[in-house]
Amino acid sequence: MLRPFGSVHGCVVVAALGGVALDSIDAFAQDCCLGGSATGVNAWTNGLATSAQWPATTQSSANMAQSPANADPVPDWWYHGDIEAGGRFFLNNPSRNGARYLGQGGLAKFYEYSTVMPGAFGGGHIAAGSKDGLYGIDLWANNIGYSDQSYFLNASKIGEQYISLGWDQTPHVYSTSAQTPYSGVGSNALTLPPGLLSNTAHNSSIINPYLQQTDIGIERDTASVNYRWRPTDAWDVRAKYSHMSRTGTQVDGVTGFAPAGGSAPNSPTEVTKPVDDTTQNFGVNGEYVGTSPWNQRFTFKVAYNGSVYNDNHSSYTVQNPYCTGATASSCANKTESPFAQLSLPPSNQANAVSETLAAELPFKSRYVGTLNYVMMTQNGTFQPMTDNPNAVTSPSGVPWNSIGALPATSLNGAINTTLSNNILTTQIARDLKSKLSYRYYNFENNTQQITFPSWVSYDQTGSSHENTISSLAISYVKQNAGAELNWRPSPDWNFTSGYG
Amino acid sequence: MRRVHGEEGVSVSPEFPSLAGQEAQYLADALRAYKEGTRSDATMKAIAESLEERTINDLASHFASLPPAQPAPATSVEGQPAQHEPLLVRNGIVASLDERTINNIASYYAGLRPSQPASARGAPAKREPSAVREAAPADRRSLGGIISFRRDDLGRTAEENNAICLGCHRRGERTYWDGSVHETRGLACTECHTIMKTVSAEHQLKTAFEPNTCFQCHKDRRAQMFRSSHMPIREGKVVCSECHNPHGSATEALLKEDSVNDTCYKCHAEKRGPLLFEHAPVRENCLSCHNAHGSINQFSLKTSLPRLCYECHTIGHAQAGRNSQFTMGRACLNCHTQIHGSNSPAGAVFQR
Repeated sequence: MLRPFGSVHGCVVVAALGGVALDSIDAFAQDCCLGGSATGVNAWTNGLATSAQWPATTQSSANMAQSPANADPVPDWWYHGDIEAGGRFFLNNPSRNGARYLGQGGLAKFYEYSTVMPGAFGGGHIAAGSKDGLYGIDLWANNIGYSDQSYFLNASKIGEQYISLGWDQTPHVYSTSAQTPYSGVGSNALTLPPGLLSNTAHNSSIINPYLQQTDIGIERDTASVNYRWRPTDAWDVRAKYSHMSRTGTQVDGVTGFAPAGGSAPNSPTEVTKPVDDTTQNFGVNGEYVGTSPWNQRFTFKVAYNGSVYNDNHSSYTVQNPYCTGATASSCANKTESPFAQLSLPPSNQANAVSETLAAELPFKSRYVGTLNYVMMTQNGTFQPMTDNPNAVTSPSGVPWNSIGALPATSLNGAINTTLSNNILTTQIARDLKSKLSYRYYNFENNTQQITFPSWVSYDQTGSSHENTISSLAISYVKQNAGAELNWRPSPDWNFTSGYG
Repeated sequence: MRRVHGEEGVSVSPEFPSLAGQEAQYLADALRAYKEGTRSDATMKAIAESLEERTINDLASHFASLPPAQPAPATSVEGQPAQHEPLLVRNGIVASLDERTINNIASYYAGLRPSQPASARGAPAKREPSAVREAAPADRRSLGGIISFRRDDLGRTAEENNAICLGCHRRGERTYWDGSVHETRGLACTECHTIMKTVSAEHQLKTAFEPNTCFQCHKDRRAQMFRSSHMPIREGKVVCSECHNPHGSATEALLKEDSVNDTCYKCHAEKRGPLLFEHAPVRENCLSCHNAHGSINQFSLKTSLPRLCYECHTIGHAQAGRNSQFTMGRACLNCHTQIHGSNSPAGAVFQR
């Protein structure tokens, strides 16, 4: 909400935008619609310039005679804004870092997307512009200094150029009371203290001394810029770019750890998965508005959009608590690995081109059609089937812990989608409208199908392995067609009949 | 009355208006207003109180039938009569009206009921001044070309009002407006936007908090926003227009992108893949499992785990109980942690 610094400036701004009447606000409001003085010619009298005064009202003659020309002059530049600042305290502090197992309150939900803690807070908005309304600038600041702070700047030359800059921080807290014995939280290698490594079963009395509190959550920082240029009324060109980085941890479940005589598949362990990636989205489009050969309006737009996702870790390792050292022989179960290796989302890219045509047609019809083509690719290097240092030789003659044991070293994944959307509307009568639509969406997965003659689970040695398995590239085509008739006999009633 | 308002209704004194050629309905209403006291003037009140209803109607009809006088030519600096431009332009507005007059006229017409009968309260049938009749265009604009965008103005439909905005703005984000669900429902531009003042930071919306504009109608989404598992909409980090184009789009649910998944990939690109081992419902549609607007279940899932998985899978993990890893915590995801798909050769069952 805008609160002007001064009433004088607020009045001037409103008056300037109002155009002719540079009156004071009160006088303007009172005179409006109460008769006033029609000193000029008007339609009622059909041009009698001397027919000036309407019947006198109770308004003071001073108000009624006030000339619009007596308003304060508009400055070359106007400005207004507001600043919000304060302090926060709690009668009962939510205790953000409380540990549940100690009977304390852990309010991760309260802090899920923001930091609400005792202390100062502040934000504000400043706007400025030229008196002719041609140039303008706005700056917003929210939650300054906090984990969810954001800043936005908009600047424009009306009708020609517009630019927006933004910086936003969005936390996502899952837990503030998590406990973990692992070191290296947030990295791609989780290790245990030597005192916790044992080939026997662990219980709370053994684990608890090694627990340390850790937050589980991610911080999403986004920088963005948008630019718009209108060289003429017919052309509209836009460009955008955003860079989003995520850092933090999320929760994963790990299987493959079991004490002596235990079953690895039935013993999941929850660990913190590292999150450290960036997403860049960018695009440019141009739109042209013109007149068709049949003298009606049409709009044509072409666009390119791209996206690059980069994960700084392709995988991470988790130390097996049932192995006393870093070698396979130290493990309680000799087929297990001292470290479990889990995959992380691979880096990928997407590129899209599209065009949209909208044209007004005869008989009060209008056609809008869109054709989009998207290409999604991913070709990250595979991790080995197992990272077990005691891995046996695979049927291919290469140890299971080598990439050479795999039928392919990367996926070479490619998914292409094609969208064609078409809509034809016709205003048959003032209250009757028809709509014909057809949509074609082809999800074409060109990723190669890879067959693994055998595979190893839980990072075991591979002395026993699973049977043949193949990846499956999912593709589909979806088509929708429809015909609608819409009848609106009154603003309160709307009847639609359709088939699709 | 002839001495005050002149012979033949043409006033010679600037203190008193001319009545010749005035609209009969207006004259009759004015006299009634003086009679009732809703319009104040001591002289006119005394005169009007003595008039019967029939006399009022007769006077109004009489003066309306009189020809209005033409304006007297003004005198230029050199003493020669100046040439006035035509005061009324055919099919145009009266350019010489000042702001107060325009407002007064607009208020008068706005106050009339659209179904005003020709002989309201016994007044003679409405007779428009000829110049006004010629000037009024066919799109039912008020005198002076004023268009009311108010919701209760029954004289115009939402489509007719929207056509004014679309005259300039039928492009860009509004390209798909015709035939869109909001257009079909008769939604007016002014239901969401206001251009006479700045309320929102962007897009000239009627509410400072953008989702509140959508929540005028989409109350269910507002309720979902308050569920425990949600995207940061109520925290002001995500707004409806980041995923949806309320003006129409080429995709279901007014999504900006080609599909639901493409919309989600804008922020969750780590799920885009392609991946070596895909989880089919994930590749088809994120909404197979998630509720994007909010849920009471963790991870904004439609159904709690493991029941969500049981919708498709009948499995041999039948153990239950307070220590069961198949039902407690993240249930199936305790082990099948790469549920969105895995790029690991050992990830066939989404455990690596």
